[in-house]
Amino acid sequence: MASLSLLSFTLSFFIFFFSSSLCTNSEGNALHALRSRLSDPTNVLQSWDPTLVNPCTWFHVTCDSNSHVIRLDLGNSNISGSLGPELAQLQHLQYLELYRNNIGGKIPKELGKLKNLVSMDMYDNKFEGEIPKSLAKLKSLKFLRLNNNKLTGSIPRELTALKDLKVFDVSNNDLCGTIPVDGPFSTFPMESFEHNRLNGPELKGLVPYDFGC
Amino acid sequence: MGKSAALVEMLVILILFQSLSFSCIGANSNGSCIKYEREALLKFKAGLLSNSNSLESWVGDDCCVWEGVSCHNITGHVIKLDLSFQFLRGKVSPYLGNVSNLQYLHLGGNELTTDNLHFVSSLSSLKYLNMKDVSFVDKYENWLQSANMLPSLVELYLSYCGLYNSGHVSHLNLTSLEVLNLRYNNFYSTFPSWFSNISNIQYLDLRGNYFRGSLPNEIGNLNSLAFLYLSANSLEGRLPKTFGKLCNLRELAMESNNFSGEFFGLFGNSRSCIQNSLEYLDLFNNSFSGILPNDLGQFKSLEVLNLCKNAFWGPIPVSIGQLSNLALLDLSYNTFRGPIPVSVGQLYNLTTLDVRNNSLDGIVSELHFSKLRRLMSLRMSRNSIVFDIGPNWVPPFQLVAIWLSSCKLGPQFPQWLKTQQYIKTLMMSDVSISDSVPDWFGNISSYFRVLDLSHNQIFGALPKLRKLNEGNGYSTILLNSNKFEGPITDFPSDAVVLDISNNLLQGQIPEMIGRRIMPLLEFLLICNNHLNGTIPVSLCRMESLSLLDLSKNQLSGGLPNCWRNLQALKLIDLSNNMLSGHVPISLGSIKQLQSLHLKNNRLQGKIPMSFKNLKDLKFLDLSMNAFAGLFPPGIGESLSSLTVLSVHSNKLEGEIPLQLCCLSSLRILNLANNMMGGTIPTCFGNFTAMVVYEKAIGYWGHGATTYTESENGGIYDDKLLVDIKGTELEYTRTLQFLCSIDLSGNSFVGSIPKELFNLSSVQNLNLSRNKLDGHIPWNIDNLKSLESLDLSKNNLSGSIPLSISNLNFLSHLNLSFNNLYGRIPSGNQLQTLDDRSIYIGNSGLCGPPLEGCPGDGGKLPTGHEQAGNTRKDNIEMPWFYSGLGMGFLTGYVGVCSILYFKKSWRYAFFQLVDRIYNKLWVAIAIKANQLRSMFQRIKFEQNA
Repeated sequence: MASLSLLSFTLSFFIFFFSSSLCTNSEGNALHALRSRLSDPTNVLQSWDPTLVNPCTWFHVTCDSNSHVIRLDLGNSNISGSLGPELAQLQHLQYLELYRNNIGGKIPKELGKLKNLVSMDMYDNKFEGEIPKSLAKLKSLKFLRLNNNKLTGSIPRELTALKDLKVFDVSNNDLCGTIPVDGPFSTFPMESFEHNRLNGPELKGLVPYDFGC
Repeated sequence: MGKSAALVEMLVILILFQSLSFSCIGANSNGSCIKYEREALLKFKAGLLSNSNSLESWVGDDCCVWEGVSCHNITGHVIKLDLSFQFLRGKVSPYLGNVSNLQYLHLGGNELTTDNLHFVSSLSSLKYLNMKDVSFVDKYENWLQSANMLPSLVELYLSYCGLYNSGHVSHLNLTSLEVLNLRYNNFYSTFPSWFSNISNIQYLDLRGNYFRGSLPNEIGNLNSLAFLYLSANSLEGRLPKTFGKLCNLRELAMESNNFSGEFFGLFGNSRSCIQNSLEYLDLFNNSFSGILPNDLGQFKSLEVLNLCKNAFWGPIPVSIGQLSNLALLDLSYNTFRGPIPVSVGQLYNLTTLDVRNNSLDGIVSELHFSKLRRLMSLRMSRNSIVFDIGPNWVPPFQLVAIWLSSCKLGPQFPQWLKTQQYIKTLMMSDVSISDSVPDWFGNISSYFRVLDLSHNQIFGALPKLRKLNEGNGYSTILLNSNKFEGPITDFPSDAVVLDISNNLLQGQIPEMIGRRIMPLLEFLLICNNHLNGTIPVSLCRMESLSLLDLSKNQLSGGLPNCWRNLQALKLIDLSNNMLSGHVPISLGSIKQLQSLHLKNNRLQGKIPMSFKNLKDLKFLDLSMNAFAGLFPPGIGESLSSLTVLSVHSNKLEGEIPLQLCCLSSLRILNLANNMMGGTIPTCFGNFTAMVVYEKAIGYWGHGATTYTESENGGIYDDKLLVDIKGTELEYTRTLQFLCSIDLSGNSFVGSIPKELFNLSSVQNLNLSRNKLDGHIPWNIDNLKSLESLDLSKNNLSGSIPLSISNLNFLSHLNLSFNNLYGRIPSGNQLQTLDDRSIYIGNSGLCGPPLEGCPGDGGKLPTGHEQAGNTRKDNIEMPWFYSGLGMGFLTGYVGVCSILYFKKSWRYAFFQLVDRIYNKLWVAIAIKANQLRSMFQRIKFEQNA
């Protein structure tokens, strides 16, 4: 009996180990795919060696104790290029710090799959297109800073569902429409919205939301 | 290639016959040769050096009988001079130009020099001129001008002449030229336009020059061209469309250029003509792309097809099986997809089949080899090919080289190998074998040079190899990463590389391993097995040993004290064993040693002073032992290459010797968990390798790849456990980028020297669990690469410097259990470190993520708020203010009333006030100036 339970324990351990190692490989591959999209004149990504078992010893990458990537710290790194859907592979990511770079293109809607994300800092870049509605699925999100980009369209109403959101900043973009007032949006200062083409706070119950955008 | 040589020979013979059929014999009967020709020949002879063959036979009047000389039978003129490969040295006399009826001149294969080619311009009958290996003094000579005076010239050889000028003339007269060989000169130019005007050229060899740019359209005019060799130049770009008109091509070699674009597509409609003629096609090492045509089988004459290292893609056409003359098929290093067609099995002349490093998949069966009775080299590594071959198959071939790594051959050990008696190279790494090695394996190992069975699940005992003629060539044996068990057995004594690491081997390392078994060994990797016992002394007989990895076993006992014999050693890894006792002094005598790993053993005593002799040492890991005593100062003084120094978790005592600061290459220093004390030397700022961000110091892999041609065995990566970001990570290849200082878990006192913060490349700084006091230096943001900072469990006081929020890569911070106070700085990067535990145990800290500071609204700053812009007073406590007010009032009333009632106090007080006023005025003026300059500096830094 004891040996049986030991066997099942070791078996489950191996299954767990195997599955987790598979995952970390995919995370390394995702990051390596990201690297191939970026131009990196100051070599901040030079330690990103795809032949390693996991990306945990790559610089600017932090893992948890199960070797899952939980942080990506690339703020102020002089990188340019764009982001791709493969970032969604980083299922355990909590902090995505890409601020003060020259990253352009759209914010991939797949980022909405990063369900553990606490902080998404992409301010001071060249992102364009709309703020993806899918970000409303990031239930743990506390910090969402997209200011100083070239984002267009309206602020997705769905974001009002983010209960934990403490900081939201979309200033200095090219957004239009009205500013939501529900949920956490009731607490954000007006500076978070200035320098856009926004039409002021939404008038609840009187005008349709997307009016004038 | 053989064909081309044969053709040249044929041409030569043809010309000989044409020009000499009615000549040589008659010339002799005339009795003598023409005088001025004889004198010219004698002048040629006089130009030769006396210490070489100086044509001793060239005596007497009749030059027609001299060696290498032939005359016309009627006119008596010398018409042929063949002095090829006569070991002649010296200078070619220009008087040769007086032998004016010469039709054939061959001076090749000697060590001759010439000023230039002017002398041939008078040889107007010349049909054949060969100056191979004759080096030109005037390297920039326009030799073409002289050659262009020879309208009868059929063959011109100027190979290996050291020429720099690829020639230019206004009008090309070489209308008869059929063979032009200019290989291995130094023509740094674009493809000369005059080549395209040699209308009758059949053979053009331009190999090994520096021609650059693309081929001109006019090359299509050369429609007699049968042999074109452009290999080893810097030609690039797409081939011109007109290239497809060269439909008499028999041999085409373009290897090692940078050609791109389509190749087979060029021959669209005209393919019907070239596909009958082409015998030899070598496009190796270019960037050609496109797919192979479906009717590739129409190239009926093809004997060699080498497309290795290009960007061809798509399927391998089935029609390839019709290339019945094909002897070499090399499609390796492309992106071919899909299965290997069964029709390949019809290529009964094939000797080499190489499809390595593609994206091929599908099944390979016996049918794929059905008629390949001449096959000697089978190379299919690094594809997703599955072998489906029955156990009783008897292959039609006897292979010499087998490269099948990462194909799927298992789970059974391939039985068909049993019939292969002449294997030299057997590469079957990662082929999914889960079997034991069969008994017959020893029978096929007679000629092994390279054996790679690594990365399978092979179990049972290690194979017994029976080599014929041991010592006749060296051998490489890679059996690592399997499930071999039992003891280490004998291996052929000529083994140079032996990798049996990552198995389940037991027992002891054979006592005689170095003395008799493998005296030639250079790479010995036995790590990660279950070996016990001691390290045999006979190891020291392996005088060629360069890499020794015995880590991760259960070896015990002391280290042998005979390292002085192993002067070739570059790397020793004995870590993770149970070795005990003192480190022998002789270990410090291995002059070339670069890496020494003794981590996690039971070694004790002092770190030997003799280590100071290891001048090439880059990597020293003595951690997790019981080393005691002082850290030897000599290590700092002399090991100028030392890059990694890890002695953590020992029992070292005393202060850090100042000599340590001399380690100017040091990038990783780990003294953690010892019993060291004293202050952290300010000279730590001298670790220059941690200041300047240099590009990686180079990959620290040590490997036998030159012997093995394998990426799966015989390779060692330096490894280091680093305590970083609150966890322990094993660094291997990324180690080359890391800068780290870990002094945690000692008893260091005093303040953190601000010089430490000049080390701007440091990514990991851990000073936790010491007795450090004072403030955190304000220049902490100089550590701009910092990712992990741990200062916890010290006695640090003061506030957290605002500049910490400028560290935009900081992803782990621990300041807990100090005496820090004041507001935790804000800042967007710092905000993401929102775990309360990194600040706890500091009674005076406040603000997010801890509780808000007194007087706060508790509001979070937004993205607008820049780091360090706001700094409120930390001590805004209401009770403090109210007490302050009361006290002031009492004191004020008390002093004033005394002054009012007592005259002498009044006088003294106002005199004092006067004096202080004067002093203060001066002091304030000075301070104001200082402050102004300081503010300017701070402003400048913030802007920067």
